[in-house]
Amino acid sequence: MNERFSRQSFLGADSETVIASSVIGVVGLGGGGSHIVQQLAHLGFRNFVLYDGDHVEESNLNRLIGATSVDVEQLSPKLLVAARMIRGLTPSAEIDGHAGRWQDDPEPLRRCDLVFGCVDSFAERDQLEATCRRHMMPLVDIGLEVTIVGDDPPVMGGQVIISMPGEPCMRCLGFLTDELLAKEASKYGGAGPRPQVVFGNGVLASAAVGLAVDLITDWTRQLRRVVYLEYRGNEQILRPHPRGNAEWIPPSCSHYTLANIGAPVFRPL
Amino acid sequence: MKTTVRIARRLLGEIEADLDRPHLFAKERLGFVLARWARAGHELIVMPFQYLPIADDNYIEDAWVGAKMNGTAIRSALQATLDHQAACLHVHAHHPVMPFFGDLDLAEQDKLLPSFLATVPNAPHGALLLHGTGAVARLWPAAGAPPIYADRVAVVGFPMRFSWRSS
Amino acid sequence: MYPGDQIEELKVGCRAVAACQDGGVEYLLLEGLVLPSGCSPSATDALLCPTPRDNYPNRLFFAEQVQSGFARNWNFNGRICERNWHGYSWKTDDPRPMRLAQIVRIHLDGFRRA
Repeated sequence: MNERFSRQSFLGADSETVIASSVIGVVGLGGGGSHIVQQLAHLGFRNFVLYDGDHVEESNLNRLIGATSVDVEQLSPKLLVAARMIRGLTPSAEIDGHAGRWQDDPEPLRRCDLVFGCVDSFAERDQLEATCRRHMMPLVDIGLEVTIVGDDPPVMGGQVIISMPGEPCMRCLGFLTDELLAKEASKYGGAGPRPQVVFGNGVLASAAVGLAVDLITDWTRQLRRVVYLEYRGNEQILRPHPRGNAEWIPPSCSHYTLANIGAPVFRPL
Repeated sequence: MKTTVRIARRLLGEIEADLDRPHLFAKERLGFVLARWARAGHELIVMPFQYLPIADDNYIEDAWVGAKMNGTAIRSALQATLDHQAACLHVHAHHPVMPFFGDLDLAEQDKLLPSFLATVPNAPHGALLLHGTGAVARLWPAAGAPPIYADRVAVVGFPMRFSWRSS
Repeated sequence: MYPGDQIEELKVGCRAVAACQDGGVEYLLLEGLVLPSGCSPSATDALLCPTPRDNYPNRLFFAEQVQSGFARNWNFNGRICERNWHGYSWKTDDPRPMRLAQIVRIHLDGFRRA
């Protein structure tokens, strides 16, 4: 084993190989995605497919891991910040980076063994999950939200969900609903900047990476079912969401069946 | 061309349960699995989605081989392939001490596959071998192209499991 | 799933009609849907979702944003059935069940009037 990873040998005798061979997609390299990329690089992941079309702005510096004030001056792409972090640890890493929406160049994403969804809308989550399901890629979704209502203390919350092909999806779990999508669509273009903070993103990103590593290495030999964690940021609690319990979950997913994987079949009528 | 087979753990479980069942005279069981596919640049991803077990009556007793299927079994698989416009992989299992296709397996594939290639010519038909905790796949990636071994077979589920082609 | 006569009605305005499932929802692809005069392009592929989604009773998506001379709130730009689509906010107000071609006509009205 490479000395660099000697302290994580508990992940399994072949964990270094499995990690180094896996292709990981990260969609969204903002507050959540940048944390994830940093941790993945430290762990020894070396094959990445990355998507983000944004540039670093001053308001990102409170949470964008790896970004500096120079990046703000230079309007650095967030993709560049992520790639720099990865290469700082693994100069020979394979980075297939896309400075744009994954929808505009979706093919490279299909190469991934696992995808992290770090997007900031339910509609984006819905579309990303659909494509991950079609191409048999587990999706680890994270999201942080801070709600401010009047003079009450802000409420910070979030989630980590593993959407596993063949298992219940985000709609089965009640996380994605038509009502939420509709509400979001009605605010389209008028949402404004969303409150975000580094420590909330860090909690969610760490949990997501930990789950992904467990999925890939099976080091705990306990990860055997759907994962839906809720984050209660005001109390710093991360715990299983009640809707992730067996009694809530349908036995199989009716939204994404195995019959509908691969390229969509258009049946002439 | 890099090739990956991604199979859902649930589907794999269904296949393994069927292949594990004893047969009156066949020493092992056989089956087919329909698959869809996708391309990602120069990479090919093959994704099984439906298992087609072979009915007990469609085995032929043959002392020289572990299992032999009759024409009805093959025709059923061809029809399903056509109906779904899918790829079709012949599937069976070996003991872990033999994690590779034997000469007989390869010869049978070479005989069997042309019919599937003629049925849905642009599909990556082939064969899938399960061997304990791993798997290997041999695929015809395109019409007219020689067969290749998949670089990787990934079981997608809790947990994931990867088998790499041994060089 | 849909009566043949309604599918035939749809075909009057486009080259071909095909059905596709995504996320448990059935969509109808209308290849080369002819758009009202004055639109650019004059025809484009469209994807009809005849069932409720996003709090709309039905939706019609287009392969590109259509210029019609009327400002529209294009509030969908995303992927369905592994293709990218654009959708603008337009509701069919009639609560009664409608024929598929009627739904399409109503959505195309957004390119005919303010």
